[in-house]
Amino acid sequence: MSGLADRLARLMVSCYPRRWRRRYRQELLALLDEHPSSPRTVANLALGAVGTHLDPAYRREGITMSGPGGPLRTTAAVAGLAVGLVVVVGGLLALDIRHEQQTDGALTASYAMGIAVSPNTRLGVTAQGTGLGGAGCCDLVWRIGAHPKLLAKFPGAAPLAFAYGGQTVLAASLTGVTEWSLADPARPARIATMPGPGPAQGIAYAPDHTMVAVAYAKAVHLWNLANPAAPHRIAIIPAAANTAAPGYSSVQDQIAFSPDGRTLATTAAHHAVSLWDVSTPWAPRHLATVGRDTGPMAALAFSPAGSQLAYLGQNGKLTVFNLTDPAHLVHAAIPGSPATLVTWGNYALSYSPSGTQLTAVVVIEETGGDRRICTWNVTSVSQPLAAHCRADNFPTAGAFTFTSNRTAIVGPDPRGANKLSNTLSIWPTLPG
Amino acid sequence: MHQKFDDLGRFADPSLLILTSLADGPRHGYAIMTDIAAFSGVKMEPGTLYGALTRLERRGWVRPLPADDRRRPYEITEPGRAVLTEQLASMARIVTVGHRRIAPA
Repeated sequence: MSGLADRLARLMVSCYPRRWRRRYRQELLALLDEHPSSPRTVANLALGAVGTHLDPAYRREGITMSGPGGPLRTTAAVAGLAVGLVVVVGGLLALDIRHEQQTDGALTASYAMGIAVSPNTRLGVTAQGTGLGGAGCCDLVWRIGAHPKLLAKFPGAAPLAFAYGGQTVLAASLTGVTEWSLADPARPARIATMPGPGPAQGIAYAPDHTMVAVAYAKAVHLWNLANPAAPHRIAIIPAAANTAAPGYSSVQDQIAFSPDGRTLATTAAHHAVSLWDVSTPWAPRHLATVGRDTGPMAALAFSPAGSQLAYLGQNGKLTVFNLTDPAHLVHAAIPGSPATLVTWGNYALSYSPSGTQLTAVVVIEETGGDRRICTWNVTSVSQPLAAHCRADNFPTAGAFTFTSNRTAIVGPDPRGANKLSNTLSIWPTLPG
Repeated sequence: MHQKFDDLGRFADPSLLILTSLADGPRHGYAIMTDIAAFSGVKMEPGTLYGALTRLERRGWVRPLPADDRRRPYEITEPGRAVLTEQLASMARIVTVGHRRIAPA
């Protein structure tokens, strides 16, 4: 239910005896990440805290509440705690309705510009609006599950990337990228910043978790993250700006590491893709520039084996490169698409684990912003690619991504004028 | 052999549900809650769940397993399984007698 009920539920956990908290606090908080809290939850935890203080196994700790005294004084102290909790809970719940209305109103002004999902798909982070002095608000942390739940917010913007098995998220800031710890997802904590010449335009995390590439307008910065608390820059790679189509507000996914982490794909002039050997990160070596005139980039993805690279242009054209033969590339148009995709929102591109299917989420402008999921069989790129597309009645704004196992597409759901950014939606299993 | 189940007081019924949930394999807290809701319709709240889990662990009827990303699974122990079997047999007798007595003569 409400964010306030969530916070109250967590407050109640801190009212349990200290020794009990040492043993059970983290797992109970993890449970609360998944359980939709209600006033009943808060009251239940308050009673649980009182009951645990009265439990003979923990009663000695009552001294911390009552000072030195006998059982009568301890009982009186616990009774006082119970009354206090009821008063506090009741009072705060009375404020809950107003708080909810304010939250809805504030978030209605923005929609998600970016999204990242943790490798275990339990957490998601969305960037609301421009976030950096614009119309947006912040980055939001979500618990993903049968009932997606908003856990917290922190200052940041798109693009976003998860790191360290979902414990850390990298988010664009006004002057670069900031690392946030999500060890406790309800309380994001700033770890470190990686300064740059402006807001980052793309973030890609190396598969071995030791390096991150951050794209800016004219360069890609490589950072060593072996020590998350003290990142240091190791190289700057020249790159071309990913010129956005007029009004196109998101230029994410413009960089990607190959699955073995040895190759980095960046944008190049004329909407081409540059491939860099980053196996020696402090001395990146240019390998090749492939493709051109495929339109400003909307999304980029390596195949699982690293043998192919797929590029989705904002012109609605898909290009697939066979990296063993970069000169040979195959174009595929999205059936029924106009010359350009819509000029806002985000797109997602993902290979199936076997590498034989390539799936894209695209937005078709001429049909009123309808979204489509298109899948291509990319077993061989020597022949024209035939797309299988289906229209989907999902939202027309916001960010999309594929989870690591392709079991879902996750994105903020703007359905309902007053719930624009307050719901995260999960889509069914993808083909392939 | 075991401490009496009734000693659990108001946590006796939640404990029975938890032991039943764990009887076919380890589960963490949220999975226990959703499983109980699925097989019994009871929407157990976190305070009740952990009040009962604390007591079951203290009696040695469930044991915690290593945590997985903050979520800690629990598994039923042999004494826990014996207590559950005993309680279910007792309930089965009540069900049998109850059905016989409410059946039309």
